[in-house]
Amino acid sequence: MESLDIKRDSAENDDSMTGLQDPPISPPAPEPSPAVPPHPTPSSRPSGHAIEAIDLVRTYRTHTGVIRRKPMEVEAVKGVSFQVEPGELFGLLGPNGAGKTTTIKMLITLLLPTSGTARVMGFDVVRDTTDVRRRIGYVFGGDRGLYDRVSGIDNLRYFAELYGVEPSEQRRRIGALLELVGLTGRENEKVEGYSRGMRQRLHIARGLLHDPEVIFMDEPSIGLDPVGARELRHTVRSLVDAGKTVLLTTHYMFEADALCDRIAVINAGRIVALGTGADLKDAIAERTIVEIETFGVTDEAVERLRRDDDVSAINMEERDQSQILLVQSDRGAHITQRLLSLLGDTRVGKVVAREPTLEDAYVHLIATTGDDEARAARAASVQ
Amino acid sequence: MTALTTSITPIAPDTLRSAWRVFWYGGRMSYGMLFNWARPSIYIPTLIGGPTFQLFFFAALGSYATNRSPAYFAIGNAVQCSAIAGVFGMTMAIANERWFGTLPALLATPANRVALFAGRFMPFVLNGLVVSLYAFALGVVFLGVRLAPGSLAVAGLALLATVFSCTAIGALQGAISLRLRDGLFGANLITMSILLFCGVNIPLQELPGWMQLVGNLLPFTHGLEAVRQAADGAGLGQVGWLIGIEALVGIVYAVLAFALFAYLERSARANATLDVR
Amino acid sequence: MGSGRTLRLIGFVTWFNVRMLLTSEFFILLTFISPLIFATLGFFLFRSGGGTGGHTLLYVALGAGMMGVWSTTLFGCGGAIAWQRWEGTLELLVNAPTRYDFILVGQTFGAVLFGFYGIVATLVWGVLLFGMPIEATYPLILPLSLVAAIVSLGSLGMLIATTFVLYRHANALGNLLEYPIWLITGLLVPVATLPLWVKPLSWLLAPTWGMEAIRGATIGADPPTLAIVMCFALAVVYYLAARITLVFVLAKARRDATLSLQ
Repeated sequence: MESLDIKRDSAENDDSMTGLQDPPISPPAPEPSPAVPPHPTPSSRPSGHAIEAIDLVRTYRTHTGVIRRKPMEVEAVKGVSFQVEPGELFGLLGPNGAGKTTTIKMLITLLLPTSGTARVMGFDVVRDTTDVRRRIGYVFGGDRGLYDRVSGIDNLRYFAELYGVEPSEQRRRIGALLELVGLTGRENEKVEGYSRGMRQRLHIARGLLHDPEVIFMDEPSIGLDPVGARELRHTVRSLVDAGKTVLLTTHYMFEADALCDRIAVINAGRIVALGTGADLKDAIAERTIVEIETFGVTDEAVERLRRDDDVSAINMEERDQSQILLVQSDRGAHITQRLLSLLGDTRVGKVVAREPTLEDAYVHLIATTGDDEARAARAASVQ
Repeated sequence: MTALTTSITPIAPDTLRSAWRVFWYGGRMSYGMLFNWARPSIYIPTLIGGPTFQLFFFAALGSYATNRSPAYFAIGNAVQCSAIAGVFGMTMAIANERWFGTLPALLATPANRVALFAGRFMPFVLNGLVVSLYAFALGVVFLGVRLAPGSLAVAGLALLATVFSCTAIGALQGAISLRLRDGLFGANLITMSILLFCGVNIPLQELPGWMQLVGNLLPFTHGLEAVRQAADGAGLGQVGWLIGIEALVGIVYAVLAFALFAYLERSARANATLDVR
Repeated sequence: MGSGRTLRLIGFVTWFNVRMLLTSEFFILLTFISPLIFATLGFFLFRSGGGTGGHTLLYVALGAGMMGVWSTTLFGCGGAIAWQRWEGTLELLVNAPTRYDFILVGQTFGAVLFGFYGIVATLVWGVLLFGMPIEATYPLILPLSLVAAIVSLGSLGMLIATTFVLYRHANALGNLLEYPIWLITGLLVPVATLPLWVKPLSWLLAPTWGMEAIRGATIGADPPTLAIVMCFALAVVYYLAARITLVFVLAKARRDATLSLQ
């Protein structure tokens, strides 16, 4: 079975990709206050990209066992490279544990890369940390990260000081941001009474206080209800329309598809695909997905299907009484007949042949990439 | 959308002005944000009621067991109450950052770390002063404490130095507890040790040698001695050196605490150990 | 439910709570270390005033030990019901087939028993560091004194548990009530030296009589009969008061839907 090879390092080398979409929506923000002397070192010469990751590697030292602790090195990120242009909405998509949060933390200076380089607005994340921090906003999802005991507006005032927002501009700016995220009228309540959605919106307002050029969002829609998630997507889109660059991590594939200009799929510490949502779907466009509902399909039957030359991947979903086989093939819809005959006596229900969706592309990518052991484990579980 | 695209001019974080604002305005806000006892329903029993009874307990016990006046014990315990406020306040401030998960958000800002750290001190030192002054007032009204009028300022200075150094050891304790877990244990241990080793109820000379050593290494001892002498009428000339030592002890603990924080931050960036999520 | 089973249940819950408290850093500090510090303070204070006899040392050790018992009772019982609510077990316990007050009895007696470990630690401390002699004037009455003290403190603990839960910040009350109770129950400063208006308060509190009972059996001149009787009498009063308040508290919680945390 061949694996879909759309691994990416830089998009220029790829022939099956349609290439980078590269229109900057607005010119990059002007350099801030002239009181800051520009750094003389070459590392800070703006290279044009908003975000640049070059071979980022991050390993952790942990231990196995409790009594006899053996030190172990875990490679969370194994060489990640990509570029994000100014004004782009870039998505980092992958399952939990893929390395998304680790990557984003390296980019926002909260983690030191074990090796490799990263630059934000031309500033090196290891050497020019203050310059980087001044230009980025950091928004993370979840329940924590705010001072519960004081009001929303006090949280914003506090971080406005930490980001050095000019005092004369603070009130106006905070007011505008509250309106942008829809918290006007609730800002004087204590954050401990806020709902998840309200907290998320406050996080966003906080990330925008100092008008950063680049905004990093780590799983911002986690725990949000559908309405809240939709509002969030709307807000993020409007940020990009206004000229900001946004890098967003998520494990919700449809969110990445609906929102992002370009998506990098990350799995087990490596980028396994990079391109627009359309590109990723194109990569398996010639494929057909045949969904076969079976009742009590045996392992041998599945194995027979898997061994067929025209079958490139099989996924199985367990339902209450039935199993849905998702068979990917290059061959087109007429493979259905052969599949059914290969299934033999297996009781079959609904059969649908369709075009691949981004979800299929994503599932296939995740299933066929990653650590060898994980892959073997997954293959074993599908049996 | 106009508000977003208007570019604003942030203060450069490496300027003094930005650092000052982080220290002063940021520091002031720490009190409400991070102090568990900030609301009256807790503040009053714990920082007003508790010290009140502590004063009377030791005044009664001390004067019953020894032949010293209640005023001696009242002064010692009045100053010790400020230590409670400072040590616990600082411990809570740090523990709550972790509880609220705000450390990643803080560390992602360009704010000057020294200003950030020092700003946290400020409200708790002030709070400690307030608590002490209340306890002193009690001592004056009920327990015969007399402050020579000319030395109010000197006594106040000594008190300030003492509260500062107790808050500093609270900060160090808080930093340690970021790695080792329960901050409240350490905070309680420190305030009780001060009660025993630092001359609050028993003059240092009456303690065995090793206890005196502990007392001299802890904050509070020299400051309290300065306050006692000032209450008796000593001037700055006589107690200035004591106040100086106390302030120095405080600075040492503060520097140690800050160094530990800087180390923890660096180590967290290198090893992802500070629960940065 | 048969009394045998009841006793076993209470015993189990008691022991369970003692073990839980052993794992809490805060309670280790409160029960073992804090009395040692106060005992040391007391030793030096009395020595400074000229009291170095064996009786004085024992007086201080027992007094400081009881101070620890009171703290443990206060914090251990004051938070008992609130903890259950926090842990989410209150709802379950209240609706369990066994009577809830048996569970509460187990919890409060567990805290008190745990506190008494602290007295042992303080005595050992006194022997090791100050050469305190261990003796008792009425060794045969001592066990009865201990039981009387534990029973009355445990019952008071129940009352504390049922009343503190009405106040949202029970720990703050704990912070408030350590010193004043130590003072008016005469643990280190005799009740006789206190002002007249305080004495009735002292006489209503379990630690006063518990301390008297134990002191009387160890360093007292006369056997502490009155103290022992008062311990048991107060225990009954506290228990009844606790039962009444418990009914009220649980009814209120059901009404306000606060049996579980919001």
